[in-house]
Order: sequence, then structure tokens, then C-alpha cells
Amino acid sequence: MVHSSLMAALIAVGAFISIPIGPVPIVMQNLFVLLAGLLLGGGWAAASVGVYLLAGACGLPVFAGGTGGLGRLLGPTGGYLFGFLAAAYLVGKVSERACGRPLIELGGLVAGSMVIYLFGVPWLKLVTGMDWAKSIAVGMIPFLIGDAVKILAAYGVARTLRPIIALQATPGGIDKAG
Amino acid sequence: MAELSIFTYRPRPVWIVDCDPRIKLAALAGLSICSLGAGWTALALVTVVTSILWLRLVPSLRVLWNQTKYFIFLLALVVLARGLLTPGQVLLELGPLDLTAEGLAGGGYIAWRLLVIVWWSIILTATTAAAQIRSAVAWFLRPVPLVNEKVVATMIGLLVRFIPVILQQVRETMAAQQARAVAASSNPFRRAFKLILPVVRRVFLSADRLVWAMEARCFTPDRPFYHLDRGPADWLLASGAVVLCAALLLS
Amino acid sequence: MKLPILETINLGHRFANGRWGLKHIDLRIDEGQFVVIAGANGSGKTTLLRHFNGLLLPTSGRVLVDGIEVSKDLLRARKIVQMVFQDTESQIVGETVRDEVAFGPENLGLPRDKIKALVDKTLEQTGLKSLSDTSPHLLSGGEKRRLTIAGVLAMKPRVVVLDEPFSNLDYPGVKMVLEQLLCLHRRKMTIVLCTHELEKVVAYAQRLVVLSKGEIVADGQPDKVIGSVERYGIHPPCSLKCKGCLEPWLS
Repeated sequence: MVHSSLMAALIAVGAFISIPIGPVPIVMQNLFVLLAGLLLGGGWAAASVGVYLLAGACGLPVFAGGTGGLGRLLGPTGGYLFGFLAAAYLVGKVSERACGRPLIELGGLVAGSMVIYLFGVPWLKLVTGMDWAKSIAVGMIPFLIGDAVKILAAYGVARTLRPIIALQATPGGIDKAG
Repeated sequence: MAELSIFTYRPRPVWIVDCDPRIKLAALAGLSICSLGAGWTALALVTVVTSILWLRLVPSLRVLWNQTKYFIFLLALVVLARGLLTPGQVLLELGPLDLTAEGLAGGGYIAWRLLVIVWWSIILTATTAAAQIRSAVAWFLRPVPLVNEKVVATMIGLLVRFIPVILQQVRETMAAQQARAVAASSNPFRRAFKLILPVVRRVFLSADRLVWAMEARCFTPDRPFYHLDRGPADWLLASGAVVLCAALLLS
Repeated sequence: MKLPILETINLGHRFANGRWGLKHIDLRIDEGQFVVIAGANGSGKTTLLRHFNGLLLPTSGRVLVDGIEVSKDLLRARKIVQMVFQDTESQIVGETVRDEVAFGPENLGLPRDKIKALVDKTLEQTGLKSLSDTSPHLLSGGEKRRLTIAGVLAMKPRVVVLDEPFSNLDYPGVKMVLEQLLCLHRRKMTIVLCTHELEKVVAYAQRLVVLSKGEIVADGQPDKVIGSVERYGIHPPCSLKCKGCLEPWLS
């Protein structure tokens, strides 16, 4: 539970961390979504994204730019936020089944990244009234290279951190499940 | 939270601060949903009411602008996209695309609606302590099956609690890496990896220490919630919200 | 003879990796004593402290709190023995100073008005009253440490255990914390404090226990034991070298 809230906080913070590479800075938010899936497994990963969205929807300032609220979820980029939920669950489920086989896990990560657009792009299209080609050109193509980098980074980080997280002895009580 | 948003909850001498957070949340949700179907006149009415409330709360529109400029930028894109892509009376020709009056109006309408919703959220955030919001959320989740509202409330509390810690660690790690000329490395994968790994590891370790500390103080998720009770101000807010909702729906 | 409040009998602890962290620890601490446990890094201080409130359980031997074994009733042990951790950042749970102090009593399920009274009194005692609604992250190092102590005192413990309470504090911070501890000691609270910086605190203690490699190597009145500490990787206070006696650090 604590780890799950922690990932939720990381996802919130991820919107503020960017690494300037070339013209488009890479924002770390969806990296943390993928990482939540890899480290926590499907259920708890979805819970962490869910808590993040819930907190944001209720007006706690956790979304990018500092403003929360329903408006954000309904706004032009809201689809991506819902996509996070599905992506975290998908990546988590796949990595639970993958038992550490790298190709399957990487496949899950690619699928997870695509799921975010599956929600994000139609939403963008709906709100802006652009046609499909334009929506994809604006809401997907510019981010693909960054996504490839993030998938690799998330995978690398998860590989390195898993043993550490598994080893941590917690005293009898609250953190049994995640 | 100072790093995330300069404008967060502070006790203010305005009646809405003392309202029941449950009613505030319900009003926010109701108004947000109703405004999706609202017409121009109702939107204008709601905007006026909200402005008055806002100016009572914070006598400045600058703060509002600072809070929403990122979102306004997004909305401006929406207006522009709509304006260029909707067929209708041509105002301006831009190469192959035409800026139309109908498009601008449609985009402006969507943007206005969203902006008003965001504005209400800001008011809610400004007038309600995080602990109150948390308790209200838990109260609403109580009848929902399969969701343990106490766990959710604890998680939201932890989420709010972790954000400044993580930001601090990110800043420290980035500074330390800049001091060792990280910019010289052009491999984006390496840079992302080298930043995320130490941050996430440190954050997880500090989460574990937090678990120890909570254990030491006899933590149980079965904690009492923030005291919730209703007074006359709440009925004022509730009825005001209902009237506005009705106006939005009928227009 | 009176029952000691804390007692360990042939306590041993072995980590998951097979290394022994503590061996053959026999310790009796009477109520009202101010005990300093000294040791170099890795000597087992923190491990020992965590046995007092059952955050760790012994691999061999027994730990008794007020005559009853810790593992038999963890909650009771944690109510009697409260711990201040080395890292304030990861101990503070609340979103405001007041929330933080109320965290422990809320976990104990006390009635609301009682919690409020308790929190008010504790804030008053620790001089944090004026900061009640501040976010803990905006406090200075010394204030944060005092806040963690306040959070622990609100649990009404009989023993306060502190792990390196002076680390990362500037001079005014150390002074504030030390004064607070002395005040507690005068009110007959049992204090167990572990540190590797003897200078600041040893002159006030009634007893000095020296740990090295997981074993007790010296135990007795500070002025009798102090001569041997350098051997175990602890810096003896300067006043001992210059004047041959222990001088109070606060002047």
C-alpha cells in the first residue's frame, strides 16, 4: 500500500521532471506509469494510478501545472490520464505472467505505451474536432522516440530495483500487499 | 506543496472555508457535469457568480492567471484547431486552411466550459485542507463495493505527503549529476536511467523508513476521519449550487 | 527491588544475510534514568533500539518492557516505548504540524475531544503552538526534530528512545532539542539516547553504555566509562582532554 501510494506520488511528480534532449524535452510521467506496472503488478499499479486520478479529480493539486480538478480530466489531455490507468494495469498483468522473461515484459511495455494513445488520441480528436490524421500527428507521433527511451529506461530501472524492493524486511503489519 | 503550487489551502476568513467538504465536493461534481450541457447565457451567469466568489476569496485575478496559464495555453490550441477545421463563414485565409467564425465560437465555447470547471476546482483547493478532502472522498466511497475507503484515504494522504519529498530528491540528484557534467552525455536512455534509478531507489528506501515510523506509532488504517458536520453555510452552498445547476441545465 | 522498565536478557539478533547484529546483550534500565548508548557506525545501536518497541524481534534471548515480553504484546510495548528516528524527513506523516502530533493518538482510537486536548497540550509544551497549521516541510531542522519529539510525546509514553537526535542539526537546533530532553528528564521520563557524538549529551546522562560490534563493551557512570571510549571508535569530549572532567554542553 505504501509503495503504491509512493508510485502515485512519483507519477504526480513525473509531470514536472523533464530531461532536455534535442528540441522536445522528455517528460517522465508515463515512465513512472510503466514503472508502477513493472514493480507493483497489475492490481496495485492500477490502484496507484487510480488514487492519483482520484486525488486530482477532487481538487488536490497533483496534475501538471499545479491545478487539479475535474476540468483536467475532461480537458483536451484527459484521455491520456485515463490511458495511464489502463496502461499501468496492462503492464502489471503482463509482467506478473512474464516471470522475468525480457521479451514478454518489453512487449507488455510497448503495448502499455500504445494503450495510453488508444485513450488519448480519440479524446483529443473529440475535444479539438481535428480529424484522425491530425490528431495522431499532434498527439502521438512527436512522442514516440521519447517513448522508446522510456520503455528501455523503465525496464532497466525495474530490473535493478526489483531485488532491492523484494528484500526489504517490513515489520509485521501494514505493507504486506504492496 | 509549496513547490507544486504556490496557491494552496490557507485558513481564510470566508464562509465557504467552513463548509462541509462533502458538500463542496458534491457541488463541484454537480456543477462540472451540468456545465457540459450549458448554453452561453448560463455560462455567463455562472462566470459572474464565480468571479464574485473568487474576488471575495482572493482580491486578485493575477493568481488565477498564474494558476491556469498552462491550461489556458492548451485551451487556446483547442480554439485554434476548431477555428481552422470547422467549415463556415471565413474570417481569415491561412494557406490551405480557413479560420471560420463558427469554428472559433465552437472552440471558445468548449474552452470556456472547461476553464470554468478548472476555476471551481481551484476554489475548492484553496478553501479546503487536504485532510478534509481526504475524509470527504472516503465518505463518498463508503457505499462503493470492492473499495476500502480507509485504505484509499490513507493512500491519498501518503500521496500528498510524498510529493515534496520526491521533488526534493529529484532536485538534489539532478544538481549532483549536473555538477558531474551529465549534459556531456548525449545518450538519452543513459540519462533517463541514471536520473530515475537513484531517485526511485532513495524514494523507496525513505518509504520503508516511513513504514517503520508509522509502525512505531501504532499505525492502523482504522483511523478516525476529519470531523465532518453541517452548518447553515453548508445549506447556503448546497442550495446555491443546485440553483446554478438548474440554470445550467435549463438554458 | 523495583522492576526495570526496560530489560534485555541475552538478546541476540541475526540479520537475513546471516550476520549477527547483536550478541549477548544484557541490559536493565530503571524508570526515570537518562541512558546514553554510544557506538561507532555499524556497532548495532539502531538495531538494539528497534528491539525496545518490537520493530525488530530478537533471534535469541528476550526483551521485556515493564516486565512483559515485547513480542507477547506489541501494541502495549509501543505505547510505553516511543521512538524518535534519526531521519526526521521520513518520520513525519502529517500534512500539517497539528496533524503530525495527532497521528499517534488517532491511531490509538482515542475520542476526538481528548485527542484535541492532548494535541493542544503537547504543542504548548514543545513550543510549536504558533506553527500548528504550517506544513512540516517548511520548518527548520531543529523545529522538525522538535516536531518528531512532540509527535512521540502525544502518545504519553513512559520511555522515549532517540536515535541520533543531533544529526544534521545546527547549534541552535541542538540546543533546543537538548533543553527539551532535559525538561523531559526532570519530569521523570526514561530517556534512552544513542549517538556517536558524546560531547553534546554525556554530561547530563546518568549512565553510559558503549556498544562495539554488537556487544556491550562498557556500561556504567559516564565519568567512569568515558576514558575507554576512544578504543571503540568514539570521539571523547574535548573537555575531558583539556580539563580532565566532563563539562555540561549548554552554558
